[in-house]
Amino acid sequence: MAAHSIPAGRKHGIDGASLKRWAWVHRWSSLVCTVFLLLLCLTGLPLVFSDEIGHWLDDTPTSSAAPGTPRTSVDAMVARSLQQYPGQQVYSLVVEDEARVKVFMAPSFEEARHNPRSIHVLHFDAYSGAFAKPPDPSERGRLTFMNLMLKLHTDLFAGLAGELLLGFMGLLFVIALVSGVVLYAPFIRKLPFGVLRRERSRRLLWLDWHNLLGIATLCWLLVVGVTGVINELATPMFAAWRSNELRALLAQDLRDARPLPVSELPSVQQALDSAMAAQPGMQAVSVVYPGNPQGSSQHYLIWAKGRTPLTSQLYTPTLVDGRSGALLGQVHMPWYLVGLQLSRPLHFGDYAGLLLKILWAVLDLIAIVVLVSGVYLWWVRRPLAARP
Amino acid sequence: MKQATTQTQSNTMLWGMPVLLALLSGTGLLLALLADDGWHLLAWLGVAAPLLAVGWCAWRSHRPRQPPG
Repeated sequence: MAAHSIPAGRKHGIDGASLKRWAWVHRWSSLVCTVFLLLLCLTGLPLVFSDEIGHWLDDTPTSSAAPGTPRTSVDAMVARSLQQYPGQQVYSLVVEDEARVKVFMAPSFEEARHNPRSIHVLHFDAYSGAFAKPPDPSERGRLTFMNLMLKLHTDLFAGLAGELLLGFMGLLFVIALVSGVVLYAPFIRKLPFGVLRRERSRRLLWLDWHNLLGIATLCWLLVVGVTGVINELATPMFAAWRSNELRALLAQDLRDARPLPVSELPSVQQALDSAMAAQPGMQAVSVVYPGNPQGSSQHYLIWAKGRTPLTSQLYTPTLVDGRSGALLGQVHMPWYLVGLQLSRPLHFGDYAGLLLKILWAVLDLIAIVVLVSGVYLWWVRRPLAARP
Repeated sequence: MKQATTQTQSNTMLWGMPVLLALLSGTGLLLALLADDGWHLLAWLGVAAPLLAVGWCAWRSHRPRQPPG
């Protein structure tokens, strides 16, 4: 409804001048963000089904261990990884999956920072401690279809600048939604909800579709828009958290910070065990190695999550000393990181089974129709709007 | 007095469905996050409410027109 002839709005508590202003806001906020939003909707569609597509493409043989088999020590897997790639650095471990352990490695932390594609992964069977599939150096840095979708969806291959740009486009989208709601009343006037005027012009029918689809899915569009913006701010939020909470906690230890060689680190399995013993009922997710830019230079950073639908979305970090192996305890999670963690599921739609994902995909397609019809309505009205 | 009643009626007609759909889908989104798996069916229905409403409007618009009254 962006560039429509402005209806008389006095009856709806909005005067002509402010109606024109809102129409201007709606037109330009949506026109500027439309191309980016279309890209986000198209790349978001396969990303909703990342887990399913990942499982489908996963060529790793399933573990033959009986349920309840104890997991072997991750120390042996780390040693095996270092043997496979001598001189390399263990970057992090992912232990979330009951049957698998992933060991991420990089030539060095410095190299990983400059070239994230130098990070590669080794897959282990958690029960036998053997490789779940043979290490494949050619897998390193290979750009898969899903990675391409993720990069286009999150940072356009431009790192933080791309994230902030897409975050700003998300903000414009939210402004377009709010201004669209303000314009809804004067445009609908006395029409019944959801009327589709097929017998009049094509433009009027598309206006009706634009209004109906936009107002019906408004709540979902707002939730996914706002949480998308929050997700794009993850990098600065984590950086702020590391430099405030983490630094304050580690002020003492960081004073004589020198890199800890991977060969001198205390047992990572014991670090995991002591961290998890301190938080019963939680499940270990990952271990960020000392020196990793995502963690502390002198500590293992161990992420754990709860087991209920809500707490399984909330990850808590625990620190274990990288020299002595002593447990330092949990790191405080500030409100903005709790908000960020809760906005992930609400953006991804991956928190209540396959049916919710299918609904997410349908709503995503509807968002595309709202975007395209908006551009169409602006385009067909353009010559009229330019009239004196 | 009469004018105020008319205003309330037209506001209900205008915003009734949009508010209802926003409440249903918003409740569905939160229910799926906060409640356990037993509530998923209700959560799905809530999130699907806008789709059902759109489907109904599309179906209605294809129906032959009823004479007024």
